[in-house]
Amino acid sequence: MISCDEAAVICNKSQYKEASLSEKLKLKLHMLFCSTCAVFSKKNKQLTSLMDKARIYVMSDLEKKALKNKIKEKL
Amino acid sequence: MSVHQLQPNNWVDAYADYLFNYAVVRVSDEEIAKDLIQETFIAGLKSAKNFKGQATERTWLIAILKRKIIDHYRKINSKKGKAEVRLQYNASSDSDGDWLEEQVADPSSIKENDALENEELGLAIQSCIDQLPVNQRQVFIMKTVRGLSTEDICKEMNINPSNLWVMIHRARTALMGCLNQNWFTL
Repeated sequence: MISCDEAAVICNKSQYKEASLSEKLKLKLHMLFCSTCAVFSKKNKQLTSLMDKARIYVMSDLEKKALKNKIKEKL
Repeated sequence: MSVHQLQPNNWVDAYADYLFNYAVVRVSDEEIAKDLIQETFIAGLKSAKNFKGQATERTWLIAILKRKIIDHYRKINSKKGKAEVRLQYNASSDSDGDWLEEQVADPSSIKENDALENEELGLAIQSCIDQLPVNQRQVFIMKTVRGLSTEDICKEMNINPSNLWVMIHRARTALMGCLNQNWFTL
């Protein structure tokens, strides 16, 4: 049996499709007995689908640095 | 009510992403959005003395950004000349879409609402992300938004994979809590 901490790591990995098959099986087994992790897993999946649904735009670090410098110049 | 103060040194880290998302969905062009944000910050510095501290910094900056977006549309409209209004009277073609019934909005379509909802969702998520500690935020964005591999992130941030998963876990847990308060589908 794996601990809840391990289960959480596997759950997070599987949100990025980085959990192996054996890890996923261990997680499934764990969740049969642990409702806390089952709830966490459900919410985690929902967060993933929300992140997919929303288009999030980010500026690159370089662009932010340039922007910061511009502000500094004007201060 | 507490009086807010401006801290321009923090602006980019604290608000750039939020303002960027706000602008991108409105002008549908990332480059233009970046320019508008730069203009917003500069205009903010110029009129900093008019800031009365009644609103939060972010609300105040958004108000400036709104003006900039309106100005942007004015500019491109005057370049193009007057907005065109077209009505078609050619009765000769009875092709698809000519029937009035086909031109009215489809009440069962939820596409338009979806776009609106997703825009609001994006901003809700962004303001939750902004509340994360800086290193968690960086790792979460690299992983989730930019889709970098675990290996690349570890190299760039100089951390090991288990550090990364701890940070991802904390970020995701915080986001779930934050979205639970601000968005009701979680």
